Amino acid sequence: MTTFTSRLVATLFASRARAVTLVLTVVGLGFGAVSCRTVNRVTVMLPDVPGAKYIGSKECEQCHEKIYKDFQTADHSLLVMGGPNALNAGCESCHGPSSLHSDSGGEVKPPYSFSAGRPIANDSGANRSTPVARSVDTVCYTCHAEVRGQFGLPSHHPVPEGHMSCTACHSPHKGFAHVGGSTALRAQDENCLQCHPAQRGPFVFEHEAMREGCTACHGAHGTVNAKLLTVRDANLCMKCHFQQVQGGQILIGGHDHSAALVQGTCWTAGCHEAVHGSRVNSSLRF
Amino acid sequence: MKKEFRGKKQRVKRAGLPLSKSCVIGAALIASAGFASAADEPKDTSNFEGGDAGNNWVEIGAGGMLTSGSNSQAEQSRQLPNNAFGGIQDLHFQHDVAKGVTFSLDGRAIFDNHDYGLNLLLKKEDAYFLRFNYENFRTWYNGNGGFWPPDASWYPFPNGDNALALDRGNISFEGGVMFKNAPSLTFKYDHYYRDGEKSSTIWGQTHPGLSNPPRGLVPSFYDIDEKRDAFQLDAKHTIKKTDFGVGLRYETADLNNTLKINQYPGEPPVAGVPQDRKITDRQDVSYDLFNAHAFSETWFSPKLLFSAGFLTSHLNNDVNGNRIYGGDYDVAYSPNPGNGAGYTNLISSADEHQYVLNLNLMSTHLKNFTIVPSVRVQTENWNADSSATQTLGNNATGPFASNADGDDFDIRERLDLRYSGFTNWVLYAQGEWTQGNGDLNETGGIYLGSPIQRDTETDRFFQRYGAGVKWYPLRRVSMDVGGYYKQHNYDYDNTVDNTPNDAGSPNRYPAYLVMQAFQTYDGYTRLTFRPLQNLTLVTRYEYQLSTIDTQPDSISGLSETQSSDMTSQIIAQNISYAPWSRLYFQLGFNYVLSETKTPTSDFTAAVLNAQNNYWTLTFNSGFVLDNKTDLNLGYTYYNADDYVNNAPAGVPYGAGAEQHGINLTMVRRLTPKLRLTARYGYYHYTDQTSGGHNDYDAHVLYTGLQYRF
Repeated sequence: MTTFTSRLVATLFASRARAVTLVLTVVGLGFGAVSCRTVNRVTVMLPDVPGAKYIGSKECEQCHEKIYKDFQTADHSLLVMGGPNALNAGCESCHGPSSLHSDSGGEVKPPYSFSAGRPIANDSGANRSTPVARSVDTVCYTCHAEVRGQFGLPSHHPVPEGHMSCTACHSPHKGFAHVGGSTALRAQDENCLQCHPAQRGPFVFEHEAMREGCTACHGAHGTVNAKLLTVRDANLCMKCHFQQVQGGQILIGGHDHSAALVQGTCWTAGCHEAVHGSRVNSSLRF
Repeated sequence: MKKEFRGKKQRVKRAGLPLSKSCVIGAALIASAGFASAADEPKDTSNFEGGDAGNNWVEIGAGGMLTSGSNSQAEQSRQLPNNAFGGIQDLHFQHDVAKGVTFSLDGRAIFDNHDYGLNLLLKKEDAYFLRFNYENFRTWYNGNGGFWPPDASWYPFPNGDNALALDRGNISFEGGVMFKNAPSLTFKYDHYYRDGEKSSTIWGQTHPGLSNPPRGLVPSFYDIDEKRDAFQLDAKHTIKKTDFGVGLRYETADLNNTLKINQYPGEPPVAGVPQDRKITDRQDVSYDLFNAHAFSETWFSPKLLFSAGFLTSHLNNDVNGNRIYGGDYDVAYSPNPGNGAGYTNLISSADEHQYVLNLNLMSTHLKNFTIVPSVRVQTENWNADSSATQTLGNNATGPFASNADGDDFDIRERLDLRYSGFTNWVLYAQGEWTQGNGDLNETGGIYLGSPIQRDTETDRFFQRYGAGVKWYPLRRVSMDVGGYYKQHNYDYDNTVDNTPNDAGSPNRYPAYLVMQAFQTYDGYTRLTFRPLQNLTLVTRYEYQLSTIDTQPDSISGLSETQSSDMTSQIIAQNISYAPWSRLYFQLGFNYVLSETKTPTSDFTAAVLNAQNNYWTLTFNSGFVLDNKTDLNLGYTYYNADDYVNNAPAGVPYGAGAEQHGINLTMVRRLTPKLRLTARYGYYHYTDQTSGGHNDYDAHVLYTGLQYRF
């Protein structure tokens, strides 16, 4: 039996061309068999949604006047422009072609309305690792393709797990200067401090890098390093704190750190642990 | 066109796919040449949100993860427990309880996954709403330390390869009234918490193989216990063309977090002095934050929007803490010659006041031209003090006190311009400038040789310029090109400094630097191309170069130097393809080259230039097998090849890992109201940085039953 099977396989795959032909035939027959059935259902994925047409953002204003007006302040308003080639761009870039929604007077929701539960709005729990075509983040990745990769890195904010969404930090409908009654401009880092209050301070001895913002050291979406660090080794600190080498000494703050650098990162235990600020030591030891 | 499909009956009729057409499509696929135009396919609004029968559903499910290799790494990577879990996967119920009054309920409760949620909402449009929300989810951390290649020393977290776990949650009550032509009022109470343990990158020292020089490789972790309560009251009213709003927020918190470090584990005493020491660094922070804000938004005309906002906040915190060495964690202070630098009886408090004013205008008076000038003024002042008893070895070396106070004033102007007067084009530009200055006075501190006395005046000047263009040359083609230049300059004038910056001073920070300049050049382009109706390609490329220049005090004898340059190139490609109305593919590919260079690597092999290169691949496909069955196939890939073994000169940190993930899902509609989901995932992970100790294989199984009603 084994010999027969081996011969059969050897015969069928005697050449690459024959093998490819065989695989295509099997796949084709499979598709053919599946397609030769009457099926009423279809898949939905932007930009095309079967049966629905793009109608342009101006149509949306008729019922969503407030959102439409606010949208003029949003970064995404760059999508909206005059000209027939840009008809698809604007509201329908994310919500999908909305002719049926418009025709039904709102009874039929847009293909992508991100309402509760349907389609599954995240990859939470056991559902994770299956990108859902119509989840919020998947739609954002359509244009922000590089961000998809960042959230696929070992250290990332829990967007793929469904515990956050892009809209937790980015407002799609309103400009940064206007969100929250114009007071969200207070600080970009306020986004981070909402969930990470321990880093808020104030400390007795501050780390001035905090004035450059959290992203001076952390990636906002995801990084290859633990704790969303942009760099895992001493370069994270050296990029600001390297001064010069004199007499074979690597001077940081005028002090030779040659031996210390051998031991690991600058924030190795006992060295400069208090990277966000210290209450006891101006060198941020702890 | 808009009146093409009006009735449900008509839609359903069109939804049917004729047998002959299906066969044609199948044949076309075999030939690999013909593509069914999805836009011309039938419309079935059951695929649209809200268009299906049954707006409510409950899904119960169960699953589990089986691993071989590193359980803790598998739990961290997959964010799932290494055992069985199950419960209510998804629940949605909505019901009109009275005319115009809707009640909705959403929830989940996945036991052993610590994934719980409940949202209750009672709402009457243009009248009132009441909401209760509860969320809890768990994050897993592998907790492991480093790997030392010369003698293959591995430093795992000592808890039997179980991941550390941290729960984060929120409970909130919210209510509001929003009657037409009357002020709307909303009140919200939030209780936030974090509870558990998480890993840290502050690794403790050890002598690898007991004989090598010390290296920081031993895992440490945080013991987290945080509770926050926030009360928020907002009022909003519209008078003619103006929206007015005022809000008050009060937040109080207790953050009782402890960093736990183990140094020289398992090493024998030297001359009777214990080496294996555990450090408990505890800081219990309580704070009160009060914030009041007000805003207005006025559409003077459809072409002129003015918005303004003001906020004031006051933050007060109190801290108790200590840093204690011992044979175990959480022990009382005990003098010991093996103790490193620490302190006890820390008492610290701080006050901070902040005021912010924003003024924004948006004008579209000129045809196709939008101009948005904004200005933000921010001022803050703070003071903080602390006292404690410093400890070292056998001695409590005495009390110390420290104090800092400072103030900052920043004014930021921003100008956004947008022009869309050319058909199918948008041009945009922006400029942002910040002028700031501040004072910082610091005294005291421990383990500094002598307490410091420093007064520093800071001047800041930030500028950022960006420009770009978006062009739709064809209905199926769009292109973005843009970029920005950013420069942040800090100038420090240390008017008082008792730690002279000459070669004899044991400690010179932070008064050591007199200037730092951050510069970034960034450019990107994106092409969106639809060569076929059912095929979309998005290609994006970004290049970024950042540099940091640093200048120490001239008395140091050191001149200005470029302390780093950082380059990154990001190539991203998305492909969406729907060859058939019942089949789609989504492919995402990212390739990133990223490097942080400092001059350090020119002088020591202990620190190499940091490489953060990686590439990822995400594939997802969905297939409607028949009227009852959907199939989904997904694949993810991650690769980072940045590991360089620079031991024994230093500690090798570079990321070297590869991960494959594949999963299959089937959804079967058993009846119109009953859906069965079955899912299997397989994940394979190899990790060079840990010497293979974090490698794992994982199988994830899940099955769920959803009932729609």
